[in-house]
Amino acid sequence: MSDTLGQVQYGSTRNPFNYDKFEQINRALTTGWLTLEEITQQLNLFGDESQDAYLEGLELAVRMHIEDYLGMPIFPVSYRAYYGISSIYASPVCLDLPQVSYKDSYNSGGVVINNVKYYNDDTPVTLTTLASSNYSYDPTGNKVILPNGTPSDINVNVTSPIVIEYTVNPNFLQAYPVIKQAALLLLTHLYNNRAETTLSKLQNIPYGVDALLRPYKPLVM
Amino acid sequence: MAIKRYENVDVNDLTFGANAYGDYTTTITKKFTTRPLVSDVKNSLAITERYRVYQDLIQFTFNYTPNLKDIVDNQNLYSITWRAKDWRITDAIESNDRMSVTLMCYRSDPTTRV
Repeated sequence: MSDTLGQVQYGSTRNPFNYDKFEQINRALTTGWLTLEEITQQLNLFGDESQDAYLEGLELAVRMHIEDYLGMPIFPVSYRAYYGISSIYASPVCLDLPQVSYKDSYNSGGVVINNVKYYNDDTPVTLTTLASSNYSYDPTGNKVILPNGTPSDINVNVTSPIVIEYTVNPNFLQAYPVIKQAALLLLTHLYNNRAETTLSKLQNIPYGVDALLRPYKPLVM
Repeated sequence: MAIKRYENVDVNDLTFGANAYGDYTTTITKKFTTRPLVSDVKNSLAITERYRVYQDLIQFTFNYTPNLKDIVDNQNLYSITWRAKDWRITDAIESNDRMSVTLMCYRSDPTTRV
């Protein structure tokens, strides 16, 4: 019997989330989402354009906050995930991507695998790209499957010898008016409150940002 | 109870000059449209011996922007068009946290005989 480390006993799948760590490697830091027209309407500035540059900066912070809060990209976000050697003994090798709220099981437009790389056993170790014919993305399980197993020259001394880079594409929910309204509320809050402290106690209004975004927030980040 | 409300206004530049006859002229040029909080509208009447003098006073509260800072610094160079009438700035009051500016504006109707 082959080694089933990392695999659920008697099952053809294994315990999920076998990545060691992951990091963001690319994100839109300058692209606007809410338009200046929407913002100046919300803030009652209309034709007063003297603060547009400041407002655009505020808008970026608001958009990134909503992306982080919902775990849902409004513009493409790229990640790099690392996998330890315990992942490579299961058969087939399945590499879970960190949970995303938008998997798009039907046409796999949600997640795009950019590359799968591994550290080989050369000295010094070299990061080697795996041919795309050696892996496939499973949108229903949000994982990458290596049906042929890992290359024989993978370096088992490296802590996380397999590295996957992938991009999560914009979620169609970002066009929902309710999410844009939450963004406008948050932007108004940040516009009116520019210091960390206040003299008086702030109170949330009912049906605010949390109420608008709550239905779209997945339980797992 | 007064109802504060947001209303569209035009902020105008004032340019002062003199015409060919030496009369002083004021040219009003629209600078931008914006939407302040309009409050404390007061129309008052003073009766002199011969005339009734109507004077209207109003408060506009704007978000503090670079344009508004310039208006605070040079209140004589700006006027505000609200409900198709021209209002001049008497007082420009910055909030202490510089989040808003309140402009008190007045307008005089033509004098009317008593």
